[in-house]
Amino acid sequence: MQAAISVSGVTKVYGAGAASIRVLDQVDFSARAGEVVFLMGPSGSGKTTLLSIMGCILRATSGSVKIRGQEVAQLPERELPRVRLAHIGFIFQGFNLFPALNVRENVALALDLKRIRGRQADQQAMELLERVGLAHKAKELPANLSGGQKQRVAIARALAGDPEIVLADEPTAALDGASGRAVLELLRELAHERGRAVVIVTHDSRALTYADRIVHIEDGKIEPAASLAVAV
Amino acid sequence: MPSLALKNLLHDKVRLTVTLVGIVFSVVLTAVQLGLFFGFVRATSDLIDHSQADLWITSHGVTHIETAVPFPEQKLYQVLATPGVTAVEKHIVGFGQWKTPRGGEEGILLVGFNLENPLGGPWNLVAGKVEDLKEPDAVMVDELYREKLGVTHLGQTVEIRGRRARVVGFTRGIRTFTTSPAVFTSFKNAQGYAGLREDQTFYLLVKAAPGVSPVALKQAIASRVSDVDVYTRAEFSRKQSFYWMFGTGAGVTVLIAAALGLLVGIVVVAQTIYASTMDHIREYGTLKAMGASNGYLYRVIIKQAAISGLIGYVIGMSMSLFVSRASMQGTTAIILPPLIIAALLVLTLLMCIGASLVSINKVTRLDPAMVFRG
Repeated sequence: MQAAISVSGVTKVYGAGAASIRVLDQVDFSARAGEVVFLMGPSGSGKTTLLSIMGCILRATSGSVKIRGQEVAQLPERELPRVRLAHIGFIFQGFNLFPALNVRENVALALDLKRIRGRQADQQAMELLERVGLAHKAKELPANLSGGQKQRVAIARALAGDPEIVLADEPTAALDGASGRAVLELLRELAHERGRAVVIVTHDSRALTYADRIVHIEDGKIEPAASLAVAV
Repeated sequence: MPSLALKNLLHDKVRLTVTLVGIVFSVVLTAVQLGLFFGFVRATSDLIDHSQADLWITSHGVTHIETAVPFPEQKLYQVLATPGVTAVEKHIVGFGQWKTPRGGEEGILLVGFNLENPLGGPWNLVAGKVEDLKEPDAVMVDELYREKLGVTHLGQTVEIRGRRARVVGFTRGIRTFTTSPAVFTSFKNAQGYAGLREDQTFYLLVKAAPGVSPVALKQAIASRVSDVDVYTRAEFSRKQSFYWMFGTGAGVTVLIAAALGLLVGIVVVAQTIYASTMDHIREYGTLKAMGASNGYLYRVIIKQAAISGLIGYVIGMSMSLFVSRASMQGTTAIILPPLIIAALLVLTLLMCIGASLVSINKVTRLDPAMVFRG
């Protein structure tokens, strides 16, 4: 089965000469549609850098990045927003909701970027909120929501426009245990029932049961022996 | 689309208020200064613009209407003999001294004209008639300057250069740039008040026959009458305004103040929009990460600036129009022609959008990877 997203031989070096830092070193990684992959490792191991490169937010120094088999690493800078918009949904540790917009508008804004507007956008935004169980909070401002609710809104926003790949950076880090589990449950459902490839960067060991596969990264290298598949 | 620009603006009401105060201040300052400029321009040339004369003839080298040099009235006949001339009238405009009832003296601008053919006569009469000036020593003054001249009632007797004068009428809204009020009287009276000989005049005002081009007539007169300058009304009006506005630097000062108003507006708006952008920088980063193009982000920032500009303009212009209206009761008019009102809208929007360029530059260089940094 073709990977929804894959990187091979990816290296990322910051700086030049003696002062350069190799953050990623010949990394190979892939995620298929319908699976939840956890990317784990200690702080500074390069997992967020890898996530940024997979999300076409950061360019690799060398190596290949493919989305549904299409090479994107060599695309010019101006093309990358279009790739992100078409294929990738992001979930951030700090939720990154827009405080001036209410919950429905936050989701609709992501649709607006994809030129889905008006009644169609409102309807789709409400469906997405329904899916994350927050339709009744549609008119609330993010400031009036709990951390778990905010992250569910962020998930609804990430799903706007139906991207094949969802990249989540520490989605449970700011949440209590119950809220964190609810968010992970939602992401797992998304992968298993909707066929999305979900890559989650985390070092929350309580979350392990939600992973289909765990990939360990340390000092910028994938540790093959430590990566394992988890029976679902 | 949820209007992120509008919502962002309304979400932070304190910042919106600061922005609007800056824009309103800028609009009011710019509008009032420009209004003063146009008020001054009108005041400098009102006597010329309302003269109904097609041509003004002066002695050589007159730079502005208030400082004419007398010339012999025989030239009137030379002008009258020019084909295409339908009427020529002697005219006087010059400074004089008015003795107030309190004993002080005020400078005035004497305007003497032929009562039989009132080229260069008064307008906007609110009391009395032009015919009333036929009475001996009769003069008319503007209501706006009554207090300055110490005029309390019609029929009041006053002194001009030691000669008796009697107020027989009032005009309304005839302002002068020099703040010396215009005092209208018959040509003959004015000759006396100005100390001119009986055969002298300061100006000749010419009316062209119907269908005759004033420009062509001007050339014809200039070629047959020596030692005079001939101007069309528009030319003389422009010359007069240019002298006072730019020759003396008065207009430049007002224009500089207007430009400063704009500059203050640009700085305030740029600063507040930039601060607002920095406040929302993480949101812009998020939008970029989500796939928003730079163009999308520019539109949000420009919309924010334009909405602020529009609201600020409406408030600022309303205040300016109020001030302008109030100024009509005084001797210094703030005149805001419709074209200037419209131009200021464009200018305000350009100022706000221009001010947002600093923010746009910041957002352009924004690294979307920032969203993953804690």
